[in-house]
Amino acid sequence: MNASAATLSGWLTPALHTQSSTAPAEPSAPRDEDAILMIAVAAGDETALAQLIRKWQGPLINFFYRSIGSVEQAEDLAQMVFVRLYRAAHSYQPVARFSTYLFHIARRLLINEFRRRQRKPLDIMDPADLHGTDNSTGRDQLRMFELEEAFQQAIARLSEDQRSAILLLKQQELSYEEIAAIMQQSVAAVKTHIFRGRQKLKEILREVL
Amino acid sequence: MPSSHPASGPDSDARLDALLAARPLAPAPDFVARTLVRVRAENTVALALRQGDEAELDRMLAASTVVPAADFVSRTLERIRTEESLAAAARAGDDSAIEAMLDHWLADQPLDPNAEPAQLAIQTRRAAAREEREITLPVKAPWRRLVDFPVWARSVGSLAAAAAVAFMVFFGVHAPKALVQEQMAFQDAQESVLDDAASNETDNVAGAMDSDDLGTINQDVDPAAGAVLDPYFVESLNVGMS
Repeated sequence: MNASAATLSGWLTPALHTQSSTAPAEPSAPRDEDAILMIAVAAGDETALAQLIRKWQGPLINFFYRSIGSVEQAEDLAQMVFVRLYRAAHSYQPVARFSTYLFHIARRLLINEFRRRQRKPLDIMDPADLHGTDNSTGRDQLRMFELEEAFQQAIARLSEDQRSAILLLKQQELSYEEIAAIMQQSVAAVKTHIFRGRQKLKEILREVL
Repeated sequence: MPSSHPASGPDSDARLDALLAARPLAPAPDFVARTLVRVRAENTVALALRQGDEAELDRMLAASTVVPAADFVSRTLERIRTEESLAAAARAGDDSAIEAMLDHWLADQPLDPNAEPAQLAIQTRRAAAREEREITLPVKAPWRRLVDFPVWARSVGSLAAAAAVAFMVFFGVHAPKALVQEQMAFQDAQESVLDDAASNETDNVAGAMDSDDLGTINQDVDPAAGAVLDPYFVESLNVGMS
């Protein structure tokens, strides 16, 4: 345990994020409202953290829910994103839009989650999980049952790249350039994922509906 | 004394049946109408999706299916506080905190009970590196930005490069091969004519060819077509005739 403790203590030191803190900051980098909140979080302002969580909880949970299909796990992953965000606050530099940074963390966690599942497959999911927290009203509420389940199954059959790219574009309304930065791929590759994913999604929906 | 419990007494079966037959909830007056609306709506959406309606697909993708629980923010803040206090304790050298954090990080990859401390250290480093990657947004190097042409420019460049490669392949491999083949064919033809000439000359020397044959050859040799004949061949014929 001593060797690991030494490693651990090294990892836990505040110098943790020196790599990212040495990254050159762009003078023209956008400084959105969330970036200002992150600076406040780094200064220890818990209200700013709560504000960030309040603002981004819905987008993150829905992104994870569409990717994983379980509300509980979607919430857990969303919480992990905020834990990571808090740890990274001290070294955060607004070199890109905050949403790009946030979904970069989210996607890395998602990929790790898929890898973990491959190593340790879970039990069959309870179908009740698929319906989520039913607080919605109107037309959306009508879709929460068979149709929603079929749609969720269709999305689950896409590759991770295709699903993430489509969700980031349509659900999170991010630009192609932002998605490319999040996925660390070229814009052309992102467009290809989206095009092929949509084609595949339409084919699957034709089968399952 | 008769029991008041429905499952006991002489007429318990009848009471039980009555309870089972009872319908404590009357359907709401608008139940039928609401059900029809729902069925129609679902069918409409399902039909649109089956037909590949792009707008409906986008609406489904953009829909916020899950509404976060009311206590999500407070639970998340609590979790952050707990994890940070654990990390602080581990930094301060608290063994139980260190072990708790290791258990948490390595939960996905349980260690062999007999693992060497070195292996444990490697796994810890990997976990730390993984987390570092998660929170670091890679910044594109300046030189990458310089060469980061737009997609159309890259497509045109790719096409030009492909055309250049095709050109080089054709003229570098195919064309010389054809030239060589043509040259070899010409040489073969030339050698063949020379061989024939030499053969005729030998025959003449041996006296195998009589004057009638030579006359026939002379008749066959059209002066107008003679241009195609090798001069050496014509000369050899003349020698043979003399």
